[in-house]
Amino acid sequence: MLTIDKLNINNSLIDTLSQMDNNYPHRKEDFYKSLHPYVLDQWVWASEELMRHFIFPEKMKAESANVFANGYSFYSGHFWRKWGLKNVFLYDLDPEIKPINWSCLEYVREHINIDQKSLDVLIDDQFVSRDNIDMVINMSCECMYDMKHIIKRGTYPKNTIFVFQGTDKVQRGNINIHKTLDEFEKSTSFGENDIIFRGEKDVNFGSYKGSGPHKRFMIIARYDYESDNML
Amino acid sequence: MNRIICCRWGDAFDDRDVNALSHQVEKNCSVPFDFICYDKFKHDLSRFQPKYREDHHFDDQGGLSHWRKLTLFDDAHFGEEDKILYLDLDVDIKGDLAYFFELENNNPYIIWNHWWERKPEEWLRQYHQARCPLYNSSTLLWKTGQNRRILSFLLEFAEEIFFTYKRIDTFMFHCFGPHTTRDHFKYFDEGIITSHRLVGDSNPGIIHSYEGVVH
Repeated sequence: MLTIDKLNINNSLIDTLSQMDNNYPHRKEDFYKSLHPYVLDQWVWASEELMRHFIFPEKMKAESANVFANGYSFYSGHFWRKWGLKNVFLYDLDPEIKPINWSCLEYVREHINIDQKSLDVLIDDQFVSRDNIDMVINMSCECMYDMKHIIKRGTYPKNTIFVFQGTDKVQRGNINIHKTLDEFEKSTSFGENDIIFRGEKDVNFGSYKGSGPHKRFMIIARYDYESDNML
Repeated sequence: MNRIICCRWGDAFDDRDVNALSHQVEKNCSVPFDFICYDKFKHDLSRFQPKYREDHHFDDQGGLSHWRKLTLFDDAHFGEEDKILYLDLDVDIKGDLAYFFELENNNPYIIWNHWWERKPEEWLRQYHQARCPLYNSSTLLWKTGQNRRILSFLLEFAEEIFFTYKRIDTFMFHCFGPHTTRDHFKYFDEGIITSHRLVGDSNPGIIHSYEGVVH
């Protein structure tokens, strides 16, 4: 039996693979790619740094999260549960991802309410949940316009934690790559006092398509409204 | 009034192409119409075209090619009840265009690319910002005012849209398509508009689209 932290992922994986065979053979390559360790590595990195700064799940108390450009989310369900999330809202342009995610997240659906929307989070901002959102995650900032135009100060509850990753990886579909961490930081709306963690990581998972040597950047932030009040 | 319109910019097409289309329209439209070719546009959005990003794939450059077509949605100069049929310059007309003016027009129309839909392996993997050929704007039909919201939207978010989307069809699919809250368009029935690229010249519809293929 395949498990992640004692969660049985057998059924989710088998059902999803069967669904890929029957209904989405043209998406197999993308789905297999989403199971590659380099995808898992992105979430592990975020999880490690979040844990370093917050003691999960007691201190953070994050229950609801928006996840942008989620793509296939097989691994991420595990982390959402680990972080104590109860409600996760997924936003992706690709409508075909929804039924596949519904199946591959079966293993956490008992614990987490999952809602999926197909939209452009920048342009369709009015349809993005804001109320009681404790966390906003975008592990694929390279797939959209600068986050500073999407996430602005004052548009989310004051304790919302933001976890953003970007890359310098040149690859089809990456419309917004950054050469350096500073450049990536400038693409967000966070000031110095807002940033809890900023870092970069050399990634190299060999020659597998799309996983060759590149850098990943990550920023974890929470708007510092207290300093604003002191001014 | 029935309006048949096209537009021209740059060097890809010239007056001969416009005249050729005009002749085809005259030969193949059994209802009264007015033909207009636009080569001046009310809105200049060229400043929003991102600079060439050499480290990005061609499809990821943004730039919203053919954005001038969307400015034709500023149609306040037409009568309220006018029906507007837009045609690309590289289409062949094989049947009576009156068909389009007799369609029920509560919603505007765009081409749903049935011919690509059957070949998902060709394109569905690229279902991101770069390509989504399920929409094809080589023929559009609308009643005055129906598509103004698309232009207003484009003008409001021009920088973001030009950065994100490479093609106007992809933009319209993702922001006004069937999966969006707007779900703006109706689609011409299958077979009414055909593609030279996929089916060659056998069994052409009323409009036979060349999708940029030189002919």
